[in-house]
Amino acid sequence: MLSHYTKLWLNFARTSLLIKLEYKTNFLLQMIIEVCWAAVTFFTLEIMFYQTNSLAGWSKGEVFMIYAIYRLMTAIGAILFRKNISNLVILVNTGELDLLLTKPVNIFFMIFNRIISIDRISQVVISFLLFIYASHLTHLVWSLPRILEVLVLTICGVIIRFGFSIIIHSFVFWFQNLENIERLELNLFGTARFPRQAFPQFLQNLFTIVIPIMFTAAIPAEIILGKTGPLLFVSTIILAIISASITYNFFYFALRHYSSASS
Amino acid sequence: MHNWSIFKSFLRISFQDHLTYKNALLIYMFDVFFLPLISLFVWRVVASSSPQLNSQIDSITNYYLLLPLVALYTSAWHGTYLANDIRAGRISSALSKPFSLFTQFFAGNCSSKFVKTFFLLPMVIFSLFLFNLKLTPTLLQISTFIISLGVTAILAFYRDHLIGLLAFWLDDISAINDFFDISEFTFGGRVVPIFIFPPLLKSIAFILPFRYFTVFPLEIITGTLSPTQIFTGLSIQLVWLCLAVYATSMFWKKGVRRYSAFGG
Repeated sequence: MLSHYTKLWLNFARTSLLIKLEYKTNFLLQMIIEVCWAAVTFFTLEIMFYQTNSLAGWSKGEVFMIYAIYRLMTAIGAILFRKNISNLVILVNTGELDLLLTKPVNIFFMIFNRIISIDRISQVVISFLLFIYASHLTHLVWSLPRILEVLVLTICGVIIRFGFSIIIHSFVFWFQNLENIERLELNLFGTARFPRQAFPQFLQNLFTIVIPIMFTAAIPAEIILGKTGPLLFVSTIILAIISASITYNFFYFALRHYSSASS
Repeated sequence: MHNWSIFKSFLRISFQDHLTYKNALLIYMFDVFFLPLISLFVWRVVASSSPQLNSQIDSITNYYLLLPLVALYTSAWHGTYLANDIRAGRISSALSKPFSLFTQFFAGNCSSKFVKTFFLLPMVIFSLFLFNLKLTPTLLQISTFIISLGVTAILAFYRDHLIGLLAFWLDDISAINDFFDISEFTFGGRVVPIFIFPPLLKSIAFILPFRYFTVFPLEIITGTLSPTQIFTGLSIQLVWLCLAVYATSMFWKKGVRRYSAFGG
């Protein structure tokens, strides 16, 4: 069964790559634009640290470390899930979901894995460059346990962030027009680019406990930089497991409210 | 008179269209306020450790609180739709009708801003109380703000229309849209107020056109510009507006000729 899904995923990846390579200019242009968008935040942070040496007790290098993690998680999510999640709204509103429901494949897998946005790979490269820059500024030494720690935190962050994204996009089964929801989610999770200490206590609680935004960059950075104990590391893993379970179950609950748009 | 009644009809249709999707408008309200509010929290923390910035904290606060409202009035988004219509050949039917596509999109833009104002106002009022807005503009600032807001709104509309018209020659205009977005986010002051830029970046932002398409009215009302800078800026905006009107008319004529030549 597992190999069946692996084969299917590899087929999706191959098809996505072939489609992207059909439009080579667009592919290259997309990569350049990704670099430019990353430069916008880089530009903002540089101006910020032109004015001050520390942001809520965080040095420039430490804030760039948060940004590197944020970029890496966003990049991985953008390659694997972003396009698929956005497409859910189209699938529901056009009734194309009917066709997918008839396939002998798990519908959750089918909807959220069909498109692999390989052109977003430049974001991963940018993240690694940011990691090098932030490590240089913070004098962070990389070891195998630290790399594994980053890997685990990244996987957990991607699950938490894109799980939340799937949940809010699933509201399309009740409200058809959700055209701004993706931008709202991007802005919401963009908050994790800053240390949580930069916000008033009620917002810190809101973005950590109610909506776990801070677990997608700021808290992982605290863990990697040794600013917090192992408790938050374990909490992140537990939260990711709970988040995955809630996402999966909520999606099926929402799916029960699907009424085809086609005739 | 005839054009005005057509414009009013489009306004009414677009108004009803927008009200159909109230949940999208609610999402819009939170979305448009969220980023400036978060930026404001962060910059207030930065200002607390920077004496130079701390002296400008009221201007920074006013800037971010009014940014969503100014951004709404100075925004345009129809370029992508216009480009899609050109590419799909849908403008053929519009060409035979007794009104211009420009009028149709302009009415849509106006009615959308009108409806969104009602959704934005509660958030504006809430944030004004939350941060205790201290705004004491002079008569000159108020009058030039109103003029500049109108000019910027029209300028932004023309800029978006021009980008849309490029679809007569280009297959994909999304990269150009992205280029303008990125430029306006950085040198247009949509993320960081230009008055707190380092001197070199500030000079670059003053030379580039992007701030005249976005935050120039905001800079006037928050009191960060001298009267000379206000009048110089307004003059530059008017020059850009004349250029945009001329370029739109030229692009449309040449574009339609090209479109007809290909049998669209």
